[in-house]
Amino acid sequence: MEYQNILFCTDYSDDAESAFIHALDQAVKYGAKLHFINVIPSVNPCGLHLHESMSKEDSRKESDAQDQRLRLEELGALKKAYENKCQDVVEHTFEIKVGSPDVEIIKYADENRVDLIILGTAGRHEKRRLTYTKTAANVSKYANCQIITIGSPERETSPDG
Amino acid sequence: MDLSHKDRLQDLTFKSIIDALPCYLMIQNRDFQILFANHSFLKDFGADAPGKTCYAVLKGVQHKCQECPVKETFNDKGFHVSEETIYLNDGRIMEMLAFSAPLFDVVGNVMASIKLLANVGSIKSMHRELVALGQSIAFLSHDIKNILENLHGGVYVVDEAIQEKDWSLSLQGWDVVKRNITEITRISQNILFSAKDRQPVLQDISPEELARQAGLLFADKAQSQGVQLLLQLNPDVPNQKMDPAGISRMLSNLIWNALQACQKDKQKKLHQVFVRLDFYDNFHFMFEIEDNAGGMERQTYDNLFKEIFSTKGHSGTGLGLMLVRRIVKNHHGKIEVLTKPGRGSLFRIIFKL
Repeated sequence: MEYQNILFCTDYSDDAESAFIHALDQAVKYGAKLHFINVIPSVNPCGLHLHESMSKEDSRKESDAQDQRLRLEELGALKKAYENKCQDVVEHTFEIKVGSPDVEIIKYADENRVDLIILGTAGRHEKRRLTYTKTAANVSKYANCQIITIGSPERETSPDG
Repeated sequence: MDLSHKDRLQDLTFKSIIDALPCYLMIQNRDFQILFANHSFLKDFGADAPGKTCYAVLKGVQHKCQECPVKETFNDKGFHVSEETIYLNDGRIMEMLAFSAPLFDVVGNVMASIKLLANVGSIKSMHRELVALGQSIAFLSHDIKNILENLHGGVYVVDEAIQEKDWSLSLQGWDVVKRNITEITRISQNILFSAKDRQPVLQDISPEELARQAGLLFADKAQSQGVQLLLQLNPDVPNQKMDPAGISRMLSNLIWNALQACQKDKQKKLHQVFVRLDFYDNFHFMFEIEDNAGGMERQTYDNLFKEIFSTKGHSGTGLGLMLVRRIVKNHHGKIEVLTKPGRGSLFRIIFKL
């Protein structure tokens, strides 16, 4: 199987860094375009009123504007973290999406004809959250292309992974 | 402009009539620039609207609309009608019926177009409700007919079994009867819930308790189907102001759908349905209902939550998902769906903490 578009998903966790090495290897090996994506949470995922005095539409516009500002900040951070590592090596592109990581990664992969997704097994997650919902597990289950999940050798694993 | 006193009076009367019209009225040139607008228009779109383009003011965009009655009027000197969605300054979105008519110069060329916009939002909304109602009745009648036929089938099997004194056969028939009674009960509960224009009755409740109760409600059904129903509930999610009846119905409809999907899927030996409650982020929590059944094809996914859409044939009306959407909307939540044919489906409902 030859890959033309490889999607590397990062949240800068240890697992994501391990996954990056593999993603770059695969992109070089197949001469594939490497897509970098980081999904950040929306400031207002349910589109609620931000303030009592604001209409719902104004709240939505304000949330979108805040999301857009965060997107641009994070896009700079993503480029800073990886651009030097793959410059002149592979064709690449950077994208920041806002929303739920599993939903946005799968959507991006579908829209960009991605044929391989590479991501860390365990990412950073909300401390209070139980480990029931895992981005890697959901992407593996629901994406419409091949998936490789990679764990960091340094990471301590619990019995359920 | 040299007008006589009488003419000025007539002009004032004419303008006051235009201003008092319960609709928007404007005059545009060939570049869709607004030359004149009545009082209603200026009040809702701002006094600075004249001079700007129609599409910038009504749609907030910098490109011409694909379909435009004014463009047609300039093209053929005719009268045109179209439906338009416009965005008011206060954030309201309105569905309008737009009429355009030519204003001619002395040699018969169209020098401007008059455009009139009438709000038909309530009529459109009523129209949609009537269409949905018609579809609902058609689907429900079809499903209830199928359930009744299944009931007749079950009763027939039980009758035969009694005559034959076949205990095993009677149990099979009785199982068919029970399943269909459960189904018709469920449909009638959903109809009753959807028929009432009920407002959420908010109470301080534990989402964990609601999810647990919803899961327990289906424990027997899951067991009878050989499906593992697993609850993964984070006890740290605090109490919330929610409508317990609505949230319970939302959860039970989603769990029911998941169990039905498992029953329909013949490809796997072991089916599982997960009911989860967890934090989504620092400010939100979520419920998730996930199954490992057959998943959804693209067409089904695209039609999800549309009024009364079902792929379950005799065993579902689509009313359940419609109610889920309505309940989530009433609680200002968000629904996300992940699905893949052959793998399963995940419904995630996100609410603010």
